[in-house]
Amino acid sequence: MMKRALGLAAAAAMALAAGQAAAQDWPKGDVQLIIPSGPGGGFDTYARVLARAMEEDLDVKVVPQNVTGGGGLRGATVAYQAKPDGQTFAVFNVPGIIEPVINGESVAYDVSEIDWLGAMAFNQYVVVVGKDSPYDTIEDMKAAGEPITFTAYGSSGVAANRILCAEVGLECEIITGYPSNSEALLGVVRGDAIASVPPISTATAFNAKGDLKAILLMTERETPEFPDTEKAADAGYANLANLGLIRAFGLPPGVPAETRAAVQAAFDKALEAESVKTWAEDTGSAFEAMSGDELSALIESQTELLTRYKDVIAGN
Amino acid sequence: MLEAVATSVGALTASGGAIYLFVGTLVGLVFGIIPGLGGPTALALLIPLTFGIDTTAAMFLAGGIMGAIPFGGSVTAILLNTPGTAPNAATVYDGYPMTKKGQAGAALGAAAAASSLGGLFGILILFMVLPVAREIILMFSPPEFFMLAVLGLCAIAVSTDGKMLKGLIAACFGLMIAFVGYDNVSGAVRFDYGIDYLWDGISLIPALIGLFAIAQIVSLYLAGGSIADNPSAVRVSRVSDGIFAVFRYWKTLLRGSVIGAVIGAVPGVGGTVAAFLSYSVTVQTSRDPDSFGKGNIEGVIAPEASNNAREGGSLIPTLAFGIPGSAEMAVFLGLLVLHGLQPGPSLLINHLDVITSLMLSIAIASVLASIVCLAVARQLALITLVDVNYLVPVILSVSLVGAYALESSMHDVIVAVIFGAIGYLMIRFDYPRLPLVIAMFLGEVAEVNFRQSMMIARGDWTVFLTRPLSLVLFLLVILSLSVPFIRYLLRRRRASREALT
Repeated sequence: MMKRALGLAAAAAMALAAGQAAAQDWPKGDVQLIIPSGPGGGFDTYARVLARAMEEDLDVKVVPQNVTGGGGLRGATVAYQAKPDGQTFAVFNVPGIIEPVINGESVAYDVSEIDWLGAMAFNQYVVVVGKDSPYDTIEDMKAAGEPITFTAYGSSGVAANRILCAEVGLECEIITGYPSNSEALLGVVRGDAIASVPPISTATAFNAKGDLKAILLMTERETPEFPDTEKAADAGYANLANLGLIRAFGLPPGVPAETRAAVQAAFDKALEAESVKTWAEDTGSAFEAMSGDELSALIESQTELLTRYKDVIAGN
Repeated sequence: MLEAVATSVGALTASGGAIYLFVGTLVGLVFGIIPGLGGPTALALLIPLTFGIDTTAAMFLAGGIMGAIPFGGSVTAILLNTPGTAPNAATVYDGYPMTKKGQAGAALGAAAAASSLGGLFGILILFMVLPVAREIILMFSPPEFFMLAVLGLCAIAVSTDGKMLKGLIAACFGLMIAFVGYDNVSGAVRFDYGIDYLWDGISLIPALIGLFAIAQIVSLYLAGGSIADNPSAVRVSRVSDGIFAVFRYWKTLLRGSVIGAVIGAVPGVGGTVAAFLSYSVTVQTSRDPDSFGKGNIEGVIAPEASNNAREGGSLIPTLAFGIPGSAEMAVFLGLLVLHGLQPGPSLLINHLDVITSLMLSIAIASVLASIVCLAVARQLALITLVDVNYLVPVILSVSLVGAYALESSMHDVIVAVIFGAIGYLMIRFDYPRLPLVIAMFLGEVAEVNFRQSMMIARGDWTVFLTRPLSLVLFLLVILSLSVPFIRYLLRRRRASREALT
């Protein structure tokens, strides 16, 4: 009870700080949260957890809406072109929205114009093989004398996979077309290919029965789920730790400053919510709140990194 | 396991669990009946409502929906020639002719009994195979998925209504539609004509609404009268006739249930394939294959048993590997995660009672939905006596709202209207519509898995024959295509022998 009262007090204080005038104008009704992928996936889950936390403090509903198609580009386009009144915001797949731009494809959005609210996580990757695989390190793979096969999901997954192979100097064959990261991992377990490069959190969730063996962690962070696995920097591939999937949230360009402040306050408060923390702990999901500025900086460095690997990503 | 079941039963009887189950069942029925709305939509809408209740109660709600949806969808398939959900598409083939003959009551009775028993069998099969679930799933790789899709495409042969050429033309049209949109293998968008809606391809549900519901009411309106050709016959046909028929054709029921549970366990293939496969196998093994498509009650039992049994099967990939077995399960996984449960094998270890609660409620809901519907079946059947002038505006508005509600998108409504026109032209020029649906549904599964197989085998075509399960499925394809021919030869030999004696 006491905790709740304190929470309410904090909420009131924050609302004041966010600008009293704006608090009257937003929300004007249910808020729409666009998700560029289908229900049940990683982006969908993060978005729904956030929507639930935001609803706790708003009088309106935050309605998740899955806008699928074009490998996530349709959702990003719809979100970018939404009316800039603060009633619509979206979760964006970074680097998914950057890659087509780098590849020179024409897209209907400008990444630098998206009004970033912040991010919930930066999911880095891990290289995994089946538990009985003869390969224990990247060096083993390089010594195999034949191309190593990988299963991959989505444009970001394929890009991460290609960058990995280019960076470590490994000849790879990538089998695409899996409907999710989990199913790409299932592909490894049943022998479609030798390895895969999933986000660490997906690999952890999938590996409840120890079907997989991690051989390279593409992160500097401590990863208790794979305690003995070598980190990219130690193996001499520090650059690989810069890759990751960012669960980024943003508004379409042109939202008036006061409305924007109110949305930002509600978003920030939701990231502090108890329900988000419990969810992350219970499911072992990566959760690391990131401000809009931190996110912009990360997006910039991701863009730089991906531009450097432009030819690799395009598969040349 | 038994202990967990006991806990679930306890939870069901105490703390209002039964109420959640009942509400879920009613919601499932309504969402199943309305074309366009189906399991994924119902579950997605329900997710926020479950935040306030505990996980077990949420399972009762979700299980109620999952158990009731497949039967709800058969009601409109039988009465209005409009499948409520995609897996009910096969039911229209004999269900609607029965209605036209004035046997709507019997058809509903058969669908209800087949659905409940199929649902129970599905859960039973799930219980039995749970220990070997992992092995089963690992047997299916892209070559097997491809062969399974080809086997499903063979169902086109029995759904052409004797108009093979027109059926194949419709199927080719369906395949062309299936290839519109984002190509998951190469990452390119195909045939989008600059329209961003098409990046996601043409959605199956609004297309089905157009092809069946809208096309149907246009032709009904032009024909006038009522749906049943012979209104006086409706009173004669009894619901109980349909229920008894299910026991008389127990082999059909059992076969449908097994096919449903097995296909359900294979991720990404789904209930629609299960229903069509079950239907086509029933036709091919029948002594009187020509009676199908004209109102044979077995043609209702087979698909309905399988699409309810599938619910049990589709839990297998979720429990063994944490991956969804169907679109509906994908949404359900989201619900689990939001309740702090990680889908996958750890569910069975740490949260067995949650899973038994879900299984229990799916089983109960498939029976409950049938009972609820049977109570009003006679009244429902009366709809076929109503002057179509009154039915047309109602069905038209429900269909278009259903198409809109799917994603709150006007584009889906436009797709429904366009396919309504296509569907009407197909009726007018006597093209069967089911081959188009089967091809639309399976085109992508077949294509993606064929290309994945080729990547895995590095372009070696023999991969489909060297893998044991793939070979078995290939032989089944050959068998299913040659059955009519073999049967024809046998009949001719018998005829010539009789002529001799």
